[in-house]
Amino acid sequence: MVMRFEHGGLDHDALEGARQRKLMVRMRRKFFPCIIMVVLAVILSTPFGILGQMELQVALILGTVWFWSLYRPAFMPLVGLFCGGLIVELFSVNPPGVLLFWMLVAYGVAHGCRVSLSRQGFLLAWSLYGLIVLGEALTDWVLMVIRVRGALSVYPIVFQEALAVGSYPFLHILYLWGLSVMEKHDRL
Amino acid sequence: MISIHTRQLLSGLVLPVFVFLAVGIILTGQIWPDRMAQLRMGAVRDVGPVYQALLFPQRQFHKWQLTLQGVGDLLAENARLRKENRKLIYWYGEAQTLKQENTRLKSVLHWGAEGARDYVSGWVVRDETGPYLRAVLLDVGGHHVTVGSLAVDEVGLVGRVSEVGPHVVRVLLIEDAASRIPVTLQNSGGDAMMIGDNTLYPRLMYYNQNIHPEEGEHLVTRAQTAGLTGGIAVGRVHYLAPGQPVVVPDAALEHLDLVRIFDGDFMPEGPVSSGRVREKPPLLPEQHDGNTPSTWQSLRRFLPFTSLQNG
Repeated sequence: MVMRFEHGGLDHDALEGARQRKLMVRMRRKFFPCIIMVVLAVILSTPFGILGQMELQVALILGTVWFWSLYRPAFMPLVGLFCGGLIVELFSVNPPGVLLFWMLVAYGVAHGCRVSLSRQGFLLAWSLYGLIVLGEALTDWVLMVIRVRGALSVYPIVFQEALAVGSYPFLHILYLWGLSVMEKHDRL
Repeated sequence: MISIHTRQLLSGLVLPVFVFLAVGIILTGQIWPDRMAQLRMGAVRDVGPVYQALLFPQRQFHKWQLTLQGVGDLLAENARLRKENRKLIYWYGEAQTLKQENTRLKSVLHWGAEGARDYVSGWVVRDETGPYLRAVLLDVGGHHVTVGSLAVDEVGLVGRVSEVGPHVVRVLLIEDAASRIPVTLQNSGGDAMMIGDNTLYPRLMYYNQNIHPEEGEHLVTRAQTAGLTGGIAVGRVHYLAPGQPVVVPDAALEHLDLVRIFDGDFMPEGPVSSGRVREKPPLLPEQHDGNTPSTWQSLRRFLPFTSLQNG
């Protein structure tokens, strides 16, 4: 076998190249959504002064976890999600740990209901995502009420929910397109 | 060798363990919020150059926008600047006269030297303004800043320093629901509390019921022995409804770039006077263990209303 490789240098190079490419594809599949999450967290924590920037950060990160856990769970390993979530927490403004907790909840729900959700279609998945964002916003609200020791307005919950639910279809389309591009590229 | 069943069982336990850890982080964040804030500030310090790079196009665009606006309206701008310049020259003369008068009156009163305003300026490296939080992070380099120091922009009060980390400090804005700033009403001289409620206009509360704040009255920070810098412009009183005064901040809180932090407990009102006598005897009891506190330590609690020299 070794001899054959020595005599056939081209085959060896091709095999090595294919092996490396396969490794790259596997790595990309394993870490792509987690890297996207961290990049979104860093970009949306930059002080651009855009209205609703932090709410959008939460919405897009939870949307990312929801989409990949539901439609391509192999791309979203649990350990990667947890480590990515810890990094995301450093760039979040919500009470520490809340976003990470709801990312894990989104992952768990997506894994548990994946088969039934795939039969029901997009609307149910969208509604469940809305409920997860609502849970996150409510947890933030409760913890901030405890911190401030006084009643706070509930309008931020409504705003966050509206922004997340409104932005999810666009995120879904974007990720579907990205997924198709990635799979086409991997097949070549 | 781990069996398949054991492996499946273990993999099923990973998610509950991670959820448990996340709940632990939430509880830790509630019990020790300062430590979590320190971690976040450390992360911001490390990615500071990334933020600067991401903000570069926006800042350049803003600069070009201003340049284009200036070019487009050059004649009107020149006329406005000439008019403003005439006004400034008039006010400069007035300020010089007042300064001379102030110096003369202080010399008559044997007024002591005022403490120097120690301040540091820092760029906003991150806006932490979210649904329930109004705060910004500033990069102040290696300058030492204490918690509670006041932060101002070029016009007025922005907030107070709530956490201090290496190179980065967190400023809780006056709009935040946790913000409480003691203020003085300039017309009446009465005191009040400015309380943030996560809206654009912080509420004005705990004022003297016999002296109600007037519409449009200007507010400044009240000097306190706890280290609060006094005399900083805060904003103007506005009534949203009868009996509901709010403060319209002078500072442009919606877009903060460069923020200055007054460090230390500088107080324009009542500085140390070499000609004044102590108003009260020291309250500290005499110590008979041989460790008598120094004059400085005994009188420190009366500062700035007590003279060191005459104590």
